[in-house]
Amino acid sequence: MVFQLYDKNYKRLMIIPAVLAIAFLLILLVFPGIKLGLDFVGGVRVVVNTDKLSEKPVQELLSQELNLKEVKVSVVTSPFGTSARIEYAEPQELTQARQLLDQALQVKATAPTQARSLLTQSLTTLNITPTSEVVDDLVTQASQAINTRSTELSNSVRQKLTERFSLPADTSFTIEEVTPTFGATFLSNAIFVGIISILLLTIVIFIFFREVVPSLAMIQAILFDMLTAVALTTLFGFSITLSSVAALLMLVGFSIDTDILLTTRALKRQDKTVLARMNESVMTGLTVTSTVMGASLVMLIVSYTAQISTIFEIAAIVFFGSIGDVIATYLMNGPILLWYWESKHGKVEA
Amino acid sequence: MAQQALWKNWKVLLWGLFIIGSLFLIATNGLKLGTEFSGGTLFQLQLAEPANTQQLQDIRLIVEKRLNPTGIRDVSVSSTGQSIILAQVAETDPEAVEQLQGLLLKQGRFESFLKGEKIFDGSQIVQVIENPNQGYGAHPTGVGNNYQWTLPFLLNEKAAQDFTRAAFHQCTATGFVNNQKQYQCEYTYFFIDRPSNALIVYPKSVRTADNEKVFTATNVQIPSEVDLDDILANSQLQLIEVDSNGFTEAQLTMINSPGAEIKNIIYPKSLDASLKSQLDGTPLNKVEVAEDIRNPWIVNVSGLRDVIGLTPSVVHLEPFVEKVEDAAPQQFLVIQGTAPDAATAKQRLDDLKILLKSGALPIPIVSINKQTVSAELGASFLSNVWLMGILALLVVALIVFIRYRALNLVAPLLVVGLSEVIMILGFAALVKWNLDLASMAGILAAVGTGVDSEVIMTDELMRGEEEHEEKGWVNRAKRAFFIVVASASTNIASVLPLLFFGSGLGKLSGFALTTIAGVLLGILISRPAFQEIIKTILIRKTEHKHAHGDGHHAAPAQ
Repeated sequence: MVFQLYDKNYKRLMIIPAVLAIAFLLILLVFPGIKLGLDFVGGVRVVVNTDKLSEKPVQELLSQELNLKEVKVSVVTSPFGTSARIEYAEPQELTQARQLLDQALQVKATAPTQARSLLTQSLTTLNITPTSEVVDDLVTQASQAINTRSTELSNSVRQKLTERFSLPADTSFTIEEVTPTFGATFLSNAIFVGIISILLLTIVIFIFFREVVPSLAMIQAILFDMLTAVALTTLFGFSITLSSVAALLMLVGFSIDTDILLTTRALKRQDKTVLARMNESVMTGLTVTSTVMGASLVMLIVSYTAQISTIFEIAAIVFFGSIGDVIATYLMNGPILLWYWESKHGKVEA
Repeated sequence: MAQQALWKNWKVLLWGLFIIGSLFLIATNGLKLGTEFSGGTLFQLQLAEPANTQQLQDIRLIVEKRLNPTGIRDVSVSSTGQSIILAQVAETDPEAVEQLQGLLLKQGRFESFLKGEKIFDGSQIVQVIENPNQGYGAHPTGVGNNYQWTLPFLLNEKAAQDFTRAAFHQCTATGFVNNQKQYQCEYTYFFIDRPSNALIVYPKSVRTADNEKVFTATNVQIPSEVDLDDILANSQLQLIEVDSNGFTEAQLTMINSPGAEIKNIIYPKSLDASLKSQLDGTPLNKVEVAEDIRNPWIVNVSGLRDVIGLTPSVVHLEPFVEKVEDAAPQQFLVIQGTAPDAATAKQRLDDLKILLKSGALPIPIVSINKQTVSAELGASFLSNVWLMGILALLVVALIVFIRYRALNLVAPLLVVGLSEVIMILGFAALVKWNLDLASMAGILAAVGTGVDSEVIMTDELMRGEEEHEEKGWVNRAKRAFFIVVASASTNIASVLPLLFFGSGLGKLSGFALTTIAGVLLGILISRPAFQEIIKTILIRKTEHKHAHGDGHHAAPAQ
């Protein structure tokens, strides 16, 4: 069975991805706006395996009694049991103290006096008196103070939850703390790695296909996939984390196959007409992409109910990205290839 | 046409070999599971600035020592990139984890005491000498398997003078053996982070127990001539000795109104509840330290790490110098000892080296990320990941079956997919790679793209066969292979930067490695095997068709 996607009016197909791309950009930049997760912004995530917690009371407890900001609570019930997932950002003073420590470290070698004053400020933000004038001692004191304060905080969260909701003593808590300085480092590293990846990809694709337009068409498809993945993830209210970054790179691997298939068949095979060859590729490509979508959907469901956030974030990106792949490959890459083919061989026959 | 039996084909044989090899490796080496699966805590430590290789090595040793001073705990420390250290500890109790976190940030202050007085500290050690040409190292003594190890170090001038003066003639002659004079020498006591700014509550019961434990101590090598009193005299701690009568007035005053320099009050976990409650009024930071079956409590608390004896030469008895004023200050000092084998000797050297370097980190840690997963949760993660993998593979098989309606195509797909998982795990077992959630994701990625490529390959091979317009397998196979190689290269290219630069991304490096390993194993081993298997199956299908009279006429080439 051959599904006739391409005919002599193939150029019209390109409108869809073009419009979607704009829509996705709006989603990311304007509304609801991209949400960076714990790994990049810093914060604490606590997962408690118990059925005694419910969202509102916990939310109130943490924001009002402990004064925590950006508290997010979600309770998930599944065949695997019930668990509550709590995220919060660390208090303002702590973040400020960290930033001051960071700045001090950067100027420590060149402007020790400035470093000293930054460190003193950092300590004062936490209501601690400096015990030394030596810069290195202050660094130690500041890091220790910051660390102690943050552990005290997660400790009191745990204690309060256990007390208020009468949690049994052996309730298991999974605690993940990411400091904002770490988070910022991760973010800049992630962006850097992403850019290098795309550059490397472009080079490799060009080495294999040696023709500019088809290579660019493939790159465009990959970028569209990533855009779709991030945009749809954001639309559904999930945030982008380190695992999402890994997933974006995985996505490249999954989605490029169909583009390579399409391009190879269009340009390197000689039998039949180019339209017929491309229409055939659509079925194969859809099969392949649907295996990826099926697998990632399974992962999405299982990881959501089992509360494994790493896998969930990866599965979400791969699933949404595959949807984008279908659009990008067949509605954009395909027409570009046909256009290119026409420019070399004359108009396509129906 | 006669065809070679599938299992005699070298590509298939190679594939089979790799599978068996991987299973063997997994069975013998075992899979190292990260804390996310085995339970425990993962610390990610960020250094103030990038470190060079030597510094990284030192930092790893120091961090390991701090997390695991007694060698009992399950600790593994590694570095990714040049400013991130990863430390995994099999500890999930939140309070213990907090203590560990505190340990990681500690300064590391080295002090050396002799006869109750401090003779030098870490800041006065100019250099710990690691150059074999200057004496550093371990060598066989020629007696049995014994090794003698030597650690030279350099003191600054002032410290050398103080040391020489304090150590002068601090040995007594004890007799002769084989015409050689024998000496009994004084001992120097090495401390790290001695709690000089703390009050220590020392109950009589604990002291009595400690008296005995001095001889069974395993954390610190205490020579048999040294007893508890010697240790106490040299640690110069501010002890509050208390018995069943409770605290005295004077002691209570000290507890409730300590001097400005005092910051902590340390007491044993087993302290009487009534005494503990009397500590409630103190402004000091309370630190509870548990007792140990083998090691004296006070030794753990004092930070005593080693007891090193002086030698007749260093105290200026051999060669003999009469007056202390004539004794040349020795800046170049040496610590020596023997060990039963090379590994122990190296361990001693490493330990002492770190000790003298104050166990202070050459580059401070500025922030710590931590992640604690309880063991039950970790186990459930693992089983869930397996579940996911199997379900995903089944879904893929289902979709392929719907499309191609041929069970004998689906079977090889599943088998080859599973084989890739086994091979990647075998590789992980070989290099003892730490498998965390991110690495598992990498395995999924590699297997997923592998299955992708195989479906495309199958399609490509089948398509031409149906239309019967292409000449032979070679062309189709070549094109299929081109697609596969191109996709594998792009796959690796997209993940490669993660391996080189992504060290700054901590846990993602595991993902990069497993993905690349998987893709390479796929393209070199399992895909060629798959191609052969599919070829055989499709050839059989064609022969089957021919036998049933579906005639094909060679169509004119285009």
